[in-house]
Amino acid sequence: MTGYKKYKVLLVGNPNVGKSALFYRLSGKYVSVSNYPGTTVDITTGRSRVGVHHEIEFIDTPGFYNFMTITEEERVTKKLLLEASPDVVLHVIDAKNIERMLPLTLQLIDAGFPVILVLNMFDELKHRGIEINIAHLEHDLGIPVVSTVATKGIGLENLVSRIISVCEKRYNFQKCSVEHPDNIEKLIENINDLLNGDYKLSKKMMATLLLQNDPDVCEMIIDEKNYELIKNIVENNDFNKLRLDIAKSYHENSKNFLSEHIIRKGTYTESSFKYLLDKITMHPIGGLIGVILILYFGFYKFVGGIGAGILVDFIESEIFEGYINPQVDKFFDSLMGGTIFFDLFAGEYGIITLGLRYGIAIVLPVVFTFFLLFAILEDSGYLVRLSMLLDKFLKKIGLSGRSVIPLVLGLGCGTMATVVTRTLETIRERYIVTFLLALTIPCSAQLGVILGLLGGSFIHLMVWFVAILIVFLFAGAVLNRYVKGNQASFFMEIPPLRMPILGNVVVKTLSRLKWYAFEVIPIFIYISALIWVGKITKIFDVLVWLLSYPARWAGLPDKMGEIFLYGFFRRDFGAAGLYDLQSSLTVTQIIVSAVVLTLFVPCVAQFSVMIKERGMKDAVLIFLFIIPFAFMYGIVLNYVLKFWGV
Amino acid sequence: MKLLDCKEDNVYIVESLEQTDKDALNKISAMGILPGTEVILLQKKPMLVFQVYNSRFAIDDYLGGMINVRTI
Repeated sequence: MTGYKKYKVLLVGNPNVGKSALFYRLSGKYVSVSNYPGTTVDITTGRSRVGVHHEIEFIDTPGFYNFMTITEEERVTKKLLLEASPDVVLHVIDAKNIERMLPLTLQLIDAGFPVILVLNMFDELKHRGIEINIAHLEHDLGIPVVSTVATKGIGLENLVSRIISVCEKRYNFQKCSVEHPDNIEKLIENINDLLNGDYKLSKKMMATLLLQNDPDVCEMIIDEKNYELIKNIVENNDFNKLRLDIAKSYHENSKNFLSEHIIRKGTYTESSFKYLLDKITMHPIGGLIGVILILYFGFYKFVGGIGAGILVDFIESEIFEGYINPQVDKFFDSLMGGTIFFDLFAGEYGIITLGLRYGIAIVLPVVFTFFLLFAILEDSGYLVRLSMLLDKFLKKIGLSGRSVIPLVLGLGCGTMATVVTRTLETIRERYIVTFLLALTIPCSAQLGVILGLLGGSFIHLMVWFVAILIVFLFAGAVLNRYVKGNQASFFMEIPPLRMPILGNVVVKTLSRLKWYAFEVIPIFIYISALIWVGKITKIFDVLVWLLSYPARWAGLPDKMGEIFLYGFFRRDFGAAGLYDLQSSLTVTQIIVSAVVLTLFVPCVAQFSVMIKERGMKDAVLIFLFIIPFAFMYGIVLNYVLKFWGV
Repeated sequence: MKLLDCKEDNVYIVESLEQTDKDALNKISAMGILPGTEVILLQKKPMLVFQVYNSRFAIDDYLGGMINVRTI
């Protein structure tokens, strides 16, 4: 790497402007995804060499509307801007929405960043009869302005050469000045005069944000000697009104810049097929049909049929049962056969023969197909539509459309979904989703086994589904009533439906799989060791004996006690155990077992994340509620099903 | 009148925004909705969907009740 000049480029912009597509075009193959420290927000970083002298690190930031941030993702982008000292900030905008997005360009210019304005999706202007005079706009803004069509790779050479010239300080910025109304300018000047520290933002932007009582910037100036004086200015003004006035002023300025440079020549009409598809996916009934189709083809056929069926069968039967397990058993038998240590590694509950086999052969294929489906839904813009369709319904149980993402992700892995609750706006919403994930949402491995057990009869599957749905609605309604706090309001941009970009889907799927492999598979191994200890110390026998009582009350055989116990270590351990037992169970017993097992405590991994995210007290309370509730519900369900003669 | 009470497929001009809730105000201005902005109400169910400039947003009734508009 020596001999290369290294530069850092941040890509910033609203959601749905093609920022990620541009990022993948610019950064080539050296891409890595990491979490921003202390958050679950993904930051994608890529490196690219330009010629023999330059290496550029591109950082793709989460969607960002303005400096007055709303979500955790936006705060991460803001923190990156405040801390990363980028050589260039690429403000990527959707060219046809320049009126709405230019105010952020002006804020970035005002903040003192070396900004390049990227007018992406430039080809769409033509269809809409809009023209932008780039040369004049560049002249008036005093920063480089480049047009691109990231999906087709158009305009990238020009963009890269502009990036290099800004990085090497060869571009002569003559940044425009944004003028606010007199009263705001006066207040900015007053705060400017009181600020002494060195900041990554210009003093003008610092003052502008302080006037709007921005918590991050207020925290940055805590050591200022004039802190109290600045605080007085901030507190003596109506910052809500100022917030609106400042936003309005940026829009007015942007309108003035654009008035001479945009020419409209006609109106836009979408192709009738695209229009129809768009209408259907946003219509309450059409949307419902879409959900059913995705549940059937996506979950049932793809995740269930291919992931839990073909892939699991192949890896489990062909690779593990056919090759690995016999070899492992043979090897450890020759090494420590006849001792208790043989069972630690091999045999029925060994680390390799059970722990690794479950992790790699049974769960990984299901989780992989699920993550792939999730990434496709995410990238096509469908998840946003689902959030929109379900917002009103979710409001009744204290949630908003935003909760759709962790709830759907919970059908893949409850542990990951519990971590993702951090992206929800209020603590209340995070608590309710955590609770519902722990109680009612089956993970994909568990779902795979349940589909295998009940999938043969649609009616049995529906009985299980309705039984779980009743708990979901009831628990949600109770939590909505008793959990303290206010409900979050909800807005979401609705992007056009589009074909998922392969690069995006692959990177998202692989980054989630990587997380799963490093965070969850080791737990499978610890659990196998724990089961071994539990068995040789006979502690398990006592616990199994204790759990066999409520199982019996719910009309289930004693053996179910063991299955419930393993269900805590991994939900799917229990479900897989149930699968082995099914031939000796009646239909009612299978349905009741599947329902109790779905509701029964979250697995160890999910429980440990619950402690981390919600605190020990709340996690334990949820846990202690779920155990008796799952059994009581099973007992009632047993009677109801018997009464109906199922 | 509030955007919440408007008719589908009609064009409106934003007259004012309620300033009682700063988070709601942030959300509304993030969408580019400010006094003087033109919006087209596209759909009312299951959520309010409107077009502002060339973007579409879905908002809940709470936010819809904070945007005061007038007809052109």
